[in-house]
Amino acid sequence: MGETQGRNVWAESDAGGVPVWAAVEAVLFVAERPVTVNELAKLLRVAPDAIEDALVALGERYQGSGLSLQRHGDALQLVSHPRAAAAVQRFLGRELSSRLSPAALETLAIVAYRQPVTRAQIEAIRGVSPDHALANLLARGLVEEVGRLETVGRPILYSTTFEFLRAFGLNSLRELPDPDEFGRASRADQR
Amino acid sequence: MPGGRTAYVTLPADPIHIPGFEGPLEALLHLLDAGELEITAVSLVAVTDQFLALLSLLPRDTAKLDFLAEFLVVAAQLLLLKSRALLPREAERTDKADELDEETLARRLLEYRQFREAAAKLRERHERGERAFARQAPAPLPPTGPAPRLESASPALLARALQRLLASRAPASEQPEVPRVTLAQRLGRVRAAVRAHCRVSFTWLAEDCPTRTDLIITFLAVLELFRAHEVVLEQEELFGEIWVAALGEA
Repeated sequence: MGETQGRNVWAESDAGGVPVWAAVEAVLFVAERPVTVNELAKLLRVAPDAIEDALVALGERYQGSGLSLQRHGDALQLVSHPRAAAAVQRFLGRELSSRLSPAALETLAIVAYRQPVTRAQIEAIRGVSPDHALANLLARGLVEEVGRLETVGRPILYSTTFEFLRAFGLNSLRELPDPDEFGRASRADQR
Repeated sequence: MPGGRTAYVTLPADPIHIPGFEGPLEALLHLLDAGELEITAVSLVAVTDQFLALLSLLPRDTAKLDFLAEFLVVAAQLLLLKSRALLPREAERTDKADELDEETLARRLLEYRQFREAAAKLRERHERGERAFARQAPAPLPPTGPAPRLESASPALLARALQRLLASRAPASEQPEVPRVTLAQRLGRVRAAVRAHCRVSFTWLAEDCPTRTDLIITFLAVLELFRAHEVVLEQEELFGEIWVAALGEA
């Protein structure tokens, strides 16, 4: 965001003379699935950087609005703001999803902060088999298989999903609580 | 387990519900927290006896050998720590590998505690119910084409379809799922779906059910609508898809 020269947030796109952010907004508004930065760049015939700038602008526009811009990796989706959940829920006639067990939540936390992660890595942290919890999280669509680790046995790698972000009202993984306290530098945290 | 066992164990005031522990790390953390002890090698040595007492109270359930094994591994690590604390240190035992070994359990516990805290924060968020919703994909239309010859199906066939769907799902998690969905809510949704599409397949309704409980409630909802003559059940062929159709639309 820091540099201004060269990039123009208000640059016009190739999509009918509207600003890039407006075109991006329009596409995300009608999209029924997450759309990637590259897809948007191709659609609007602008550089991915221009899309990134437009996303910053869009994110600012949605402050205090009923909409929210969600990002998972390179994929984007326009969603209702978590604060508006009650109204939307009533409209959709949806009930709240049932509670997650402590085991499922611990497993989910490990996947969220350490992704992509293998079953064995989760087990090493929890000291118990995460099989049940993982099956539950997979069934709820909060976690998905994203590939395999290229080591002996090629274990499956798990990551969180868009549904995870939605279910917890997060705009991106960066909004996870205290991300810096978890991970390698944990040794310093001896209180 | 002999009941007298608990008598000599000076467990913290808060009674520990033994089978309630998910695993040894959780049990160990509980002991440390109850004794208001920091996670250090010294504290671990201090709670070793309590942990071993706990271990002796675990049900000897052959179906849970993995679970017991995890506890045994941690118990062994604790005993190692304790024996080292009790015995005078040998001069040559100062190499790096041994030092690391002593820290391993404490480090694992610290790491585990962090994720427990993260899980607690996630729980708060989840329970606040502030979730986001994405645009709803339009409900996939029931396959069109040459109108299939539909035979009317019975609730018994629907029950069989339910069994198949249940069998194809992941086994129920150990903890019973708390049903948040009520029959009334589900009734409303099935009714709305049938009204919007005239005919929906049971499999399609089932796809919307994240848990087995949801699936069963959906089944009950369909049965209820059938009983109330709001819908009819149809089937293309034996063991084929079962359709829930609005009465009069068939």
